[in-house]
Amino acid sequence: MRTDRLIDVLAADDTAPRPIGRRLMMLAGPALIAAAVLALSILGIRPDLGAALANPTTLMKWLLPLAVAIPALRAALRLTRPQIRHTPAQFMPALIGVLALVWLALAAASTAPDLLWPQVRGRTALICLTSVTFIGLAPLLVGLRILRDGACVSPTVSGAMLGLASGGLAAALYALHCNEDAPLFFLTWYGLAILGLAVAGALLGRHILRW
Amino acid sequence: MTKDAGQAEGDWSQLMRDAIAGDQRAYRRLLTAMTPVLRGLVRARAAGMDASWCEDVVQETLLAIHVKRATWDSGQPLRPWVYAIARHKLVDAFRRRGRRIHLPVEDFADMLQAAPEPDRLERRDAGTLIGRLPERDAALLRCLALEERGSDECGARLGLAPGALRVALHRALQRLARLRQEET
Repeated sequence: MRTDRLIDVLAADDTAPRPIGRRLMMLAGPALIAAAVLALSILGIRPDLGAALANPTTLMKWLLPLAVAIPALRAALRLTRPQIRHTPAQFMPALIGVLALVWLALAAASTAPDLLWPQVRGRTALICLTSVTFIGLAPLLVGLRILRDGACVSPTVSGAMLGLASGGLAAALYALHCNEDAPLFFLTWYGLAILGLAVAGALLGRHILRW
Repeated sequence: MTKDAGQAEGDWSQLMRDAIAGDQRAYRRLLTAMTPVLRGLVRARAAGMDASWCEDVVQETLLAIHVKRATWDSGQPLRPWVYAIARHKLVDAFRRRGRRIHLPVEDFADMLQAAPEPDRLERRDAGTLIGRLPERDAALLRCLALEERGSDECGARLGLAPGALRVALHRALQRLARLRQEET
């Protein structure tokens, strides 16, 4: 194929390009909401939601996941641009992760050893893990398909950021149901669920986001 | 930056803004202006590679610029974005070449005999890739890009009205740009 003929053919394709950020909000957003509505309609919303939101410790069940999700989403979008290899927002989730680990260690240290595992385990660890994963997987899979039209130069990092965003938002939505408020419980299981989605995003992104 | 470079910078970004707004003539001018720059850049980084290999990388870069143009932030200068894409495509081309070269010789001794020109093995230009697209996409691109016929003629041959042809062309180019990644 001659290069100038290729140019003619490319110029003949005048279908307008669609911005990735807007498509992500229009498609992955509804996927997240739909999965969350489905999960919450089965699980129900905690009746004492107002009181829970007023308690600073319990409020962290929303604030920490959102503090991971919002910068991660921002990073995932920034990193669709090929000239951007790193962005400050991508380090924010790691910082929040370290803070959560410190809090977890302090909480563990101040708990009697024989009570530690019962408190960590709580009553709903499995439901928590599966629900957050289920809610987060929907926007992750839809989002990866959209980010595929981006030009991510580090597909693994981009995938991980989308996974962290999906997981963080999913955890914050699941927290509308979950009434286990012990930091040992939610730091452990919310953290693991979000991390699981980040790993899934990284592994899938590594293949899907290549271009 | 010299005044000329600053001027050229403004031109490229402005041409791309016009192109995204639907000005095909501006788009063709932009791609035509970029091509020698890309060619120079690829040849400079790929010393020792033959000209046809370099031209493949240039064509792949042009195709990527086209299908990824939504990732350019129109408030930013175009040039760094173009260079980032060219760099990515060049690294990718080297990586693929590296893989091919490390294959055991026995495995493609037969192919070497079947193809007398050694660089035909290396070359998988867009023309070769077209054959691996779904049949209708391949037929359209073959007609437009390889046989270099007009879109009216290709539309008539494939039974596509002008609107349908535009949609089909868009889809075919998106698929063509993805082919390379799916094979590795």
